[in-house]
Amino acid sequence: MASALTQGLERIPDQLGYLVISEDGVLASAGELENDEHAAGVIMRMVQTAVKLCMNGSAEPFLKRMSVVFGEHTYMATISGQKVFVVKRHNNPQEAVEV
Amino acid sequence: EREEGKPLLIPVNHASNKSSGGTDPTYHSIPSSRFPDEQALLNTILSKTAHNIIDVSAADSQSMEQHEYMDRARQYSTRLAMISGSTQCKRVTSLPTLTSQPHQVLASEPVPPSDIQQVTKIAAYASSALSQIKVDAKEELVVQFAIP
Repeated sequence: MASALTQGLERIPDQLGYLVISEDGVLASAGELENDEHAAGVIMRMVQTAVKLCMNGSAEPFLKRMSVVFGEHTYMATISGQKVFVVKRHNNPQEAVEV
Repeated sequence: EREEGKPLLIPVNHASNKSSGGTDPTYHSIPSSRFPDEQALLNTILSKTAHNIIDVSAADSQSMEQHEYMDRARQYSTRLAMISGSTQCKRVTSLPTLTSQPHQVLASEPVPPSDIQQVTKIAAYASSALSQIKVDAKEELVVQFAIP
């Protein structure tokens, strides 16, 4: 496990698990997302699609983070240095949403 | 007087046009009409079409010797190996960098619930609107022609 990649993710408040994915596969995983290659694949494809939607020829992508919101938890993903970082966070009670 | 003696219908005696098949009966020239120009025009069209049609069954295949074939196959796979070896086209679908601080971005405030509710409502409206798309039939599709 590359600790440089994951140290920051470990410390995210109310995190339930995380993934670091490259185009070749999963680089790191932990918590509820440990070894979850299926989730990694799905989220990777979602991110790739989102990025395509945003880039309409302009140089700057105008998305910073993608959130997939469920009732009790949310997946958040971003891209940095050719790697997709994903964290699964628990939704705080005041932020629990009716989906 | 010479004009009057000339027959209106010129008897057909032409060989078939330059088609690759040669013996296909459909390529015989069209019998002439009263207008020689029209016939010339029609024949032009016919010969053009015949020229453009590729009769696969009639074409003689360019056969290669066995060793030529093997040589060429080897040539192609060498070239392919050269291309796939180079990392040029590998990262075509590269991931753009969205942030230099991924941990910070992922740790920051979640999306406000009001935003989620707004997006959900908009999506529900869109879905409902989509389901209401229908054909509005204004008139009969089949009509009878009134023949007086």
